[in-house]
Amino acid sequence: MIIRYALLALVTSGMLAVSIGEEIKDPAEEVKKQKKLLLEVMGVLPGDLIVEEGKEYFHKKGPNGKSCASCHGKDGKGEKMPLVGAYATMPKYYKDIDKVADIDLRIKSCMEKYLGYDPKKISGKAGRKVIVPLATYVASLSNGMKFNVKLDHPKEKEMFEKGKELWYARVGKMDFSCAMCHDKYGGYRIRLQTLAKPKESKVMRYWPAYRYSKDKMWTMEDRIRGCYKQIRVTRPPFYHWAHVALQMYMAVNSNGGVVEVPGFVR
Amino acid sequence: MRKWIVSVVGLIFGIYLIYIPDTAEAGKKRTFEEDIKQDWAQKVCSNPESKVPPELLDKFLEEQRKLIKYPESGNIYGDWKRGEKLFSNPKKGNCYACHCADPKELACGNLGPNLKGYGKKKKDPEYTYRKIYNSWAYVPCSVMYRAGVHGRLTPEEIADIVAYLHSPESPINK
Repeated sequence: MIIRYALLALVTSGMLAVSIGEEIKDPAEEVKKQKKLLLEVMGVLPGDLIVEEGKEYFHKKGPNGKSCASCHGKDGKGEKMPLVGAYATMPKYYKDIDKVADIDLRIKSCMEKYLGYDPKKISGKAGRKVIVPLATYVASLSNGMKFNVKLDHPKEKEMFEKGKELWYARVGKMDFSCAMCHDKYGGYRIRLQTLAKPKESKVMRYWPAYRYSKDKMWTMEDRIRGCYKQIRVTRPPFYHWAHVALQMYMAVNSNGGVVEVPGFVR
Repeated sequence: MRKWIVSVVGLIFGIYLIYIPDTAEAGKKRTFEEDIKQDWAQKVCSNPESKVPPELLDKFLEEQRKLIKYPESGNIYGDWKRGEKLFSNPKKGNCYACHCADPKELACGNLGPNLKGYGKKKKDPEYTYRKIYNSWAYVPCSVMYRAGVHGRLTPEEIADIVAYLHSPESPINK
């Protein structure tokens, strides 16, 4: 483990050194290059290690003696409630919590409701350490399957509408909206960073993603918080409805895209 | 033993007293909900086309023009050297996020036009002042944030940036 982190530190610091003297490059080429570089140095992609970590948590018992696998089966392939393909249908309305949930909120709810975790203990950073790898692992169980989010339940429709509204809302002291950067100006640059086109790339299919510029695995909640921070709007707390709403909007726009998790992004 | 307990309780109470103002401050912390509240113009611009409906256009422009305020001194042409710093400071103008300008700055965005040679082409500093203060008075719903309206830049600071864009001494116009 220590060797792994030492290697990571070495590689990322090398990347930083490269990026300081950097000029405008084709972002897609740059991602490929960084991926190749990491594979050469480590022999494995960091994201794949995090999937393994999530798998361990999946089979680890919680405070009341149950694990995720107790209900969903070994490797999420149980006869009852299998998780293969589940991610490709999320966010989704869940009767047991009477909420539309994204993968982060679904996992957190399970940990509290079925594994006996104290909500206070997992609502913050300590929770993210477990929930992010778990989300990555569970999402990866849908790899190769097509995104297929439906708006059957009224609460799902409502969430989609809220997400659409947020997507286009010009807010804050920078007057930005998601749409300004990611629809209208997608492909343009803020400083040297090319703005992504999440609808076009069917973004939900490759998140959670490993961000090589931060050496971190991020779920879409982390990504959304990062965006709001950049446009100087106070970030919604984790598991806030805004995360679910925006992901519902992006997920519907990702329908038909083939799941490939963990993604590998800048 | 008693003394111990008394002093420990006293210490805890002291720490509590110190932290009271902090928690009061924390109570004032801005929330996501507050920050996504929109003004009328932001609401009007929140559509997929990012355009003002034609029937609202006159009212929109008039309201946006009314928001523009000038420095008390009346001087809209400040100090270009101060302007240079404000222009690049990410916590102030942060103009390089979207514009290229001084050719020496390579890390510049391309959402807005390249401003190199701006002062040679544009000869109306007042227009520049007003545009920076409130871009929506000229291009409704533009991606360019309304620096003066939101108070990210004071009128005096905008005047300094105007000088930086127009001055023949400025690296932008060299």
